[in-house]
Amino acid sequence: MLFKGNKKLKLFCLLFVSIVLIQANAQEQREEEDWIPSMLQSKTSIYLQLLQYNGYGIGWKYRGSERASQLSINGMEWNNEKLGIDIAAAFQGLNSIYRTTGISTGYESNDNGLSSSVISHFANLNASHFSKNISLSSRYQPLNGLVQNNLFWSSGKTHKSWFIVAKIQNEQNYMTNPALGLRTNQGVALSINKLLTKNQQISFSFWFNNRFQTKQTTSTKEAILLSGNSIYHPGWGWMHGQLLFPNSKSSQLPFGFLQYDKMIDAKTHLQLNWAIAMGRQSNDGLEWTSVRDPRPDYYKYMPSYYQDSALKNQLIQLYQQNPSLLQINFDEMEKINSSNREKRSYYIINRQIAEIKIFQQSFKYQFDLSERIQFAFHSNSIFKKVEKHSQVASLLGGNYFLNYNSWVSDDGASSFQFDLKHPDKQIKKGQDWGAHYSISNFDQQFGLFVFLQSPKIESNLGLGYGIAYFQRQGFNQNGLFPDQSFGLSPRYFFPSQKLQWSLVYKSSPRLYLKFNTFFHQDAPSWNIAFKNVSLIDELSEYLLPIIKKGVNIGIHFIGINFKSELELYLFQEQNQYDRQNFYHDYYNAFVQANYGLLNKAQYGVEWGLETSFNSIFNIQYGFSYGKNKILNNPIYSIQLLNGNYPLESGNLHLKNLPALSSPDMIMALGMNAQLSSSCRLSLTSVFAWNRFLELDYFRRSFLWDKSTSDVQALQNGVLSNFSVNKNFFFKTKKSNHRLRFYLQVNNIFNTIIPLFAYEQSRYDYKTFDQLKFAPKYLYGLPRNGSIQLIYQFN
Amino acid sequence: MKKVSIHFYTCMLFILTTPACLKQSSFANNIYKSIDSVVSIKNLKKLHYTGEFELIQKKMSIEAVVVANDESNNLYKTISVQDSTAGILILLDGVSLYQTYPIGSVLRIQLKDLILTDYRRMIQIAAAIDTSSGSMQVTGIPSPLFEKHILVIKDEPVIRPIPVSYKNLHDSLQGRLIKISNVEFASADTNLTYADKKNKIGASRALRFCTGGTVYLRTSGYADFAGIKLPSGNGDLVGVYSVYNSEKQVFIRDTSDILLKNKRCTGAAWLKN
Repeated sequence: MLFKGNKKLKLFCLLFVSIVLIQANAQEQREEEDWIPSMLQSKTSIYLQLLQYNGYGIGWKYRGSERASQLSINGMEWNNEKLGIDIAAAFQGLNSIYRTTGISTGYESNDNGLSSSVISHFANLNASHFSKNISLSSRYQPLNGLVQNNLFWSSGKTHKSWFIVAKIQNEQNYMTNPALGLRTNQGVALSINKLLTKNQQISFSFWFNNRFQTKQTTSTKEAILLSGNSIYHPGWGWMHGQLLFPNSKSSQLPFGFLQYDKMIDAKTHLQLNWAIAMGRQSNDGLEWTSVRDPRPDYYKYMPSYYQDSALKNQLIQLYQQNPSLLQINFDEMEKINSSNREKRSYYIINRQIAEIKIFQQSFKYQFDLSERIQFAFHSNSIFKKVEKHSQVASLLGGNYFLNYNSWVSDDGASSFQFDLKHPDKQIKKGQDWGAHYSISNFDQQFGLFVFLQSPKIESNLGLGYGIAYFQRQGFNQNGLFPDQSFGLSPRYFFPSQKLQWSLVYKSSPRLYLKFNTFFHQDAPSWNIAFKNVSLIDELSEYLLPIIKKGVNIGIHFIGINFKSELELYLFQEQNQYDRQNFYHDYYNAFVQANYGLLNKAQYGVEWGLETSFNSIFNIQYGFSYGKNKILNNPIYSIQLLNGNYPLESGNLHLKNLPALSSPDMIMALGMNAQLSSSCRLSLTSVFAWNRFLELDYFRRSFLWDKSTSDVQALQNGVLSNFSVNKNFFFKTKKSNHRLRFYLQVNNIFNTIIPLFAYEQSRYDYKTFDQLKFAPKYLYGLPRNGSIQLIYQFN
Repeated sequence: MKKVSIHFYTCMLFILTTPACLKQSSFANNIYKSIDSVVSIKNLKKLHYTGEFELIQKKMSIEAVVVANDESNNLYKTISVQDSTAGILILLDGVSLYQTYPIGSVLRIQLKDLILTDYRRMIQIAAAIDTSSGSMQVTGIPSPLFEKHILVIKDEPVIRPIPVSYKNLHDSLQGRLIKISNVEFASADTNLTYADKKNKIGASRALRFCTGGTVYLRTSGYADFAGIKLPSGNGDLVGVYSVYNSEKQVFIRDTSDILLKNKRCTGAAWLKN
């Protein structure tokens, strides 16, 4: 795929898409709610409210956590990393038919379950939450030509105690700028609820998104400057004068949910939930072997690669006059694929497919011992199987593609064969090639909660225990690991345990003190638990339980016309491990670099203030200062990618370096004006300071050895968003009608700052030229906006 | 209100049905391809003084056919071209050049802004020279500039090598595809390989003419055939003529260029070798 083996890039793509979806979902949430909140009624922290939707442009990550957010529906966990799927693409729009029952931050315990991430969203899918209404909504975003249309219908309670909610959504964009790509989505949702008796109900929900989206890629500052376009990226090109996007992803993963809910008596509540998801998700990318690198921003094609100033100028002039040279040239690839004697394809578009099967079950039993003491027992079982294989999506003008592993050199041995039973197989369009394997994973989690309440104190204690196993099945015997690639592996078991405690002391009705602490020992994710899951049944060498622990202290004060909250947090993670594959210039070979036993800490302070001057103006203010640091020098090893031959090992010198690229200091200001009961204006500005490049640990450690450990800071920035919301109400004989107009302008001052920036793993380990493999960036969008019209009646 | 909705949805319908109208031409100017005066390679080489380098400032081009490239990795970032008058090496800063410039392609190479130089008397065309380190660092034409400088005009599938005897091997044949006959490797070398494949070290192997004289077969340690044993027979060899200072050399495209299947030679001239 384009940018082979770049995990950061993959992570970024996921992150970027998730953020976009969070934004879209936030917008929809506002549609569904009556988005004129009364004063001081915010459900979550003021700081989080301000940053959750406005912070993405400055690279904000809540409390510096890379995997900040997770969703739990009906007590069942839907976690990207744990399930190894793209939940955001599959769930987009689903929030219209569920109700959020709680948001826990900083690993707070609550009666929805144990949180497993810094922000946990708990939701319940149940049609009885919605009153009768029909809503038609259209949203248009001129910058990328995106049009979203939704139809939502809720029956309300029928005379036979049924509730039905249905939603249809369609989303597509017409091309305005190829850098912004294409996106289409057709979604349908149905939720049916039946009150069986006064105390028991059953509900069924179904959700399906047919989603396609092209992906953006990062590039160097040099290429971005040459293009003269801050949103430039090299991940698209031309073929026969037509646009072609080799990098895309699609999702066709339908979900079904079933819930049975019973109040056994006034004190006892039982809930049973089941979920099933079966479908596929795929990622397309460019693959090449034994040919010129097709990436237009490859370092050897850039002016900076050349010392000669005349040559540099020639190249600068060439790119400036011909921006299309900074995009992928598919015509050239087609020429090379079709001009050799056998029409062997050296370039292809590869489709990596995940066939997904997930079954989940949850059980919740809650018992009120007294008004002040409650118990709850919670169980969540997850079984999933993900089968991964690759298909040739396009031969780009050739007749066949050879089923060889391009990471492994063709030295006459058979190590480069992907399938020893069918060596040298010529793969046609639509046929499978490469690694083919599946992972089965069963994860059983139990939780026990105790809730205590008194006039002055509220406390809850959560205990969790889980056991998970992974099992790999290889469907090919590859030449690199002929003895460990084919067949069923043993089951690898990993326990997990959680302890969470929170305490709220109500000093007065206006002053609350909050304290919570947690200790988690998590099982690893299957995709990093294995050394090279696609090719070999072998666990990672530094595999230890990941330990997360922390403490959170807060003071909340509610005044007559203001509300304020101050929180201090300290989190630590231990035994982190990961790996990267890259070309190592010292060894002149592709290597796998592993690190383990990495410890890091996040600590800081958050402050939020909300105040109203009069019945019209309301101001929200948020501030945070935090550090996100590596605490030790983790161990590492580097080995050849085409075998287990070790090249070097030792400790990486990373202590005290920033662990993640998120601003150290943030200030956010939100100003709202409720001009009338039907009109609201809102302006939010977010300021960010002290933000660093995402570091490559191996390069960084090497630079430490060379006494050049300065970490490049990214520019500080201010991003401001503005919105207007205007409602028109009118009545007819039979119904009430509402027409809502919503205008959003993002980045009103047109600030151009990076959304994401990272150091490349490849480094000039021979001559130590730091500029040679320069950092890669993706810049945020310039000024942009959307208009939305919603017509609602009941 | 109904009207507003109708107008709005009409607009939306219009937006949705408006076809995408982005064209590649809006992202690209035609790369400048002027029709320059065509000079012969022989005349071009006359502009060069051995050990020096000359920036070509005039608009001129050569038309030549590719006689060797990097298909077997015996050449690296280089192709060899010839016209009816002479041959020359073109340094190109790219890999897998054989896919774009296969043997037999006729190229028009625009020379303006390129540099004429030599490496140990072997004349070549490059894009830049850096002398700041005290020695001459030569840079090939960057691959984004290939299209600016090189145009593939047509294919010429059959290229006939020039039959040459030892006494006729001289600099005017540099870069040309030649055929030498009645040659064989020195008997002491017949147990050796073309080059040291394991350590990636190139080698020169003596090729002796039965009629007298020696020319060296130069092979890169990276060549696909570097690890193959040299043939022990006598016969013909096709290759590109090159020089390394005063040493006369030839390099082959692959082992099919060597037809040494006859009996080894004997006689007075041979004994002189």
